[in-house]
Amino acid sequence: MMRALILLPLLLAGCDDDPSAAARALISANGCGTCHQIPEFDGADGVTGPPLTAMSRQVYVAGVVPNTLEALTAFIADPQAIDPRSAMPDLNLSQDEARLIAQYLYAVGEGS
Amino acid sequence: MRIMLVSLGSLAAAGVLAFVAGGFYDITAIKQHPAWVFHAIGIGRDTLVALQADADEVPEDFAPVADARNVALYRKHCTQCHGAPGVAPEEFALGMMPVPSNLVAAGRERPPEEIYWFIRYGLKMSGMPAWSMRMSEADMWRITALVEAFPTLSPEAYAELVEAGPQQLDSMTSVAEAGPFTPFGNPERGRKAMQVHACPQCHMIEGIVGRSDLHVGPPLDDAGARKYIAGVVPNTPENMIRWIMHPQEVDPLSAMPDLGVSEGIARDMAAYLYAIAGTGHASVGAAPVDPR
Ligand code: HEC
Ligand code: HEC
Repeated sequence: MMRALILLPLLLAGCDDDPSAAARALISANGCGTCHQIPEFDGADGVTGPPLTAMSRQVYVAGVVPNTLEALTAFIADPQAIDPRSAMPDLNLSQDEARLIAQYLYAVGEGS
Repeated sequence: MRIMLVSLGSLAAAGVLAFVAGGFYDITAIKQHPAWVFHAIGIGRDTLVALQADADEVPEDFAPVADARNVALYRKHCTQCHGAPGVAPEEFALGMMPVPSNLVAAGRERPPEEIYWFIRYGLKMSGMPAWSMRMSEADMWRITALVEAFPTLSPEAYAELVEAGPQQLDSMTSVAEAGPFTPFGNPERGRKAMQVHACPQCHMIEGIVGRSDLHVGPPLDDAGARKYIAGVVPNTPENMIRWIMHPQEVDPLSAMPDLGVSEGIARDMAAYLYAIAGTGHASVGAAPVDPR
């Protein structure tokens, strides 16, 4: 609940005109960059998970399902629903939030 | 001077490009090179093979042998492309360019060390694969012995050996003999092994030439430094080795196939990945070592 409260203004701020600003807000609020390398994100250089630097080029999501917007969204929203063994934590994002992030990841980095 | 060389080089490159891109050179597999190119390639290949094959010693007890086991090995690895006495190659091979050679003729014309050389090292850009690190020395020499025996083997005798032999050998049974292996991985051998296990078909790997925009599997430059292997188990040398050998044992859903990598080779590959990630664990001990 606390988190939703913190996120809501960030989300609303972005939603009006710029979905990528909203996605960036979600990415910082959830600390994705502590575990992942993310393009155009200062300090997002984690090596716990794989780099998210060429998401639009990747053949698979998490090495297990074909890379589509649906699959990427589903994985970000609930990693274990895609691969029960996945070590990525479930960050309790909604489908809409996950989709915003997925679209952002497709739009930045190599191959976009 | 340098500028002149560079501009000459660019001119030449542009010329070749215009020649090929303009459709003046046929790169399809339905038309052979012009006769003079074909013969020039043949002479170049044979000269180099003759020179290089001398480096590998033929075992002292080597003799041409056509028996059921050798035939079974040959059928597993070679018939698809080369056919055998009285046996056609598979359909796909008929359309290869160059078309895989008839090995009865090769057995007549080439000494054993050259046959062995082709099996071990393969031939770049021809379609002839290399079996180095994926087949034991002993098996490479067994197949060599069979090819050397082909010129005296009738199609009928060959068919009888096919009947007599084990129909299917376990895949790459005796790679383990390919050693010698130490309990510590050898990064340089790991690098070479990755090339002949098709790793660069799916991964970008520092130190191995390949496409720079390839994302079938993740890039492996930092794989040794990442916290997890394949995003599912902690990164320890033992997990890395197990993953390379049998990905589905680690994650049943993984899209990475089991490539039949033997344990010694997997250890070498792991050693290479830790080396390029700069984790200071270039030698992968038998006991688990935390790479972080
Ligand atoms: C605590 C560390 C951690 C955090 C925080 C984290 N991830 Fe992950 N992430 C991982 C790990 C580990 C994997 C590999 C999981 C797998 O392959 O199953 C992964 C995999 C992924 C993948 C699949 C990558 C690929 O190569 O297919 C995506 C996409 C992803 N994470 C996005 C995110 C986003 C977006 C966030 C923030 C909302 C995030 N992650 C936060 C650890 C984390
Ligand atoms: C995928 C197809 C393929 C497979 C499988 C294959 N080869 Fe080849 N091989 C080729 C091609 C193509 C050439 C090159 C022909 C040329 O240079 O004109 C070749 C060349 C050779 C040569 C040189 C022949 C010559 O022209 O004098 C030898 C010897 C040989 N292969 C042996 C083998 C043996 C033994 C096996 C099984 C262990 C094998 N090959 C498996 C495709 C294959």
